[in-house]
Amino acid sequence: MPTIKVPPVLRPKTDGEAEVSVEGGTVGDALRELAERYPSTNDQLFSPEGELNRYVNVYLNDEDVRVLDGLHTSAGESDTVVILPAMAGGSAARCWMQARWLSCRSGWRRSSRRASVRTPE
Amino acid sequence: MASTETIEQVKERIEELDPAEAGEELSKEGVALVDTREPNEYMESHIDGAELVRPVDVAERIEEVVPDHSQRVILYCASGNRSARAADQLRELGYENAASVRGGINAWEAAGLPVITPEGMSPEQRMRYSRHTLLPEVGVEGQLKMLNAKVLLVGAGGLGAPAALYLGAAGIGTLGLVDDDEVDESNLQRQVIHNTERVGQPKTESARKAIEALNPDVEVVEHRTRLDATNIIDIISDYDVIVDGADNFPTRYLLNDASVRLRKPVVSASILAFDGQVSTFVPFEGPCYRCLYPTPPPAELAPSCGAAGVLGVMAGVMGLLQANEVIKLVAGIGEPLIGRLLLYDSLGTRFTELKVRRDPDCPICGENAPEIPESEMGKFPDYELFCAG
Repeated sequence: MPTIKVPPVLRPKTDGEAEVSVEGGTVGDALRELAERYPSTNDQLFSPEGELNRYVNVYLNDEDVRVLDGLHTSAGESDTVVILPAMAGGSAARCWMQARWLSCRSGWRRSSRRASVRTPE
Repeated sequence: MASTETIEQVKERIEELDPAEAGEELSKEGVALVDTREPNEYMESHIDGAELVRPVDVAERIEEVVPDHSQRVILYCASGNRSARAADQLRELGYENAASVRGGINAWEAAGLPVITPEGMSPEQRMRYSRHTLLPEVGVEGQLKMLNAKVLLVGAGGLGAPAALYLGAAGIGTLGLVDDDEVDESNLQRQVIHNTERVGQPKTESARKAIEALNPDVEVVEHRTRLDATNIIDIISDYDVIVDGADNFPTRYLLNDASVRLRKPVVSASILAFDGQVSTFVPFEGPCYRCLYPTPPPAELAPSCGAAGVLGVMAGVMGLLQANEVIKLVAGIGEPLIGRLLLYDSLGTRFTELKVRRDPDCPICGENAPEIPESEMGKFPDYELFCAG
């Protein structure tokens, strides 16, 4: 029974569970089982064609499945399947449209280089 | 040895050598040289080949430094008194062949004999960075590398704040800060380089004040702007290492692509809620950001801290891991996180390490990635469009 490690952003869709045990077999089986158990994760993980979404990285233990056998990689008893989306953080609750507008602003103030060199006495 | 004994009485029992005599003996093999001063004096200057044994440590450490009691041992200190007492101690411990340098290193230098001094650092710097230079892996050489290094921090916010403070403390000679924001009260829960008095000030200015107060050796260069295709090549060209603390994906992809073009290492981290990630991207030596994340996630899988929240200390933990990576790259020590993604879960206090491989099909650093000619260096695709999917 491999364990799936659920990233924080997906935990609201897995009833808050950070780790989910599945029957497994392959990484693909494990993820599909997760999506069946928690249907709202399906769209985050899989494209309409049933392929793993490119922006989701999946690891079997510490290795990206892309360098193994992809979704066909075997996932056994003591294996961990890690789902990893990218994070960018940031203070402002920016949506993509707002980000695009901000980058179009011109005349944004640039500071001059500080020319003074601090030397110890 | 009576405590009321004068130093003259001690000197009568031991052998003393003039600096010239000592120098003559030291030019031959098999003579052990021991400096019996304190670490700060040793660091100021010492005689080549001398092993430091503090006066309080003589009884305990001399066996380790000179195991052979019959070996010729020459001891010196600043002016010849501490070494005389040490030579006397050695005599009592059964060392048959110990001698002290009359007048110490002061007389040695006055006689025109050579000493070693760490070059390039003032006495104040030698004291300031002594905890670094005492580390064998760092030493004076490593510290000088830090003093001569130029590091750019993209973002003077959550990650940039702690990183900039510790890199400033470490003596990184030039710190560039890229940020167009102003200090806001909600920043102060984690952006410890700023403070309540400086709310409303530009972040780069606020950070500069903090760094200058901490370490006058550091030159802080403010870049009050956001990185974009028109300025990124100019800005990053001047620096040796870049710390990515950007708050959005388009900037991260732009930074990656530009840094690969210019072959600049990037230490990249991100935080959200209770989690953090960090890795070090050295172009062509390991994977790049695009090898790890070929496609950015949609907005709902990547909320900002402003939307989802972040534990203040996460900025500290991950920012300092970034600073640690920078120090290793600059000083050329340890094992940077090249090809390794470190995940930190602060709720469980657990680290997980994942392998990151170079993607042979990476459009930026892969085998078939296009070579960018000089004339095209500053031209980049539209990352906003790329990130909007």
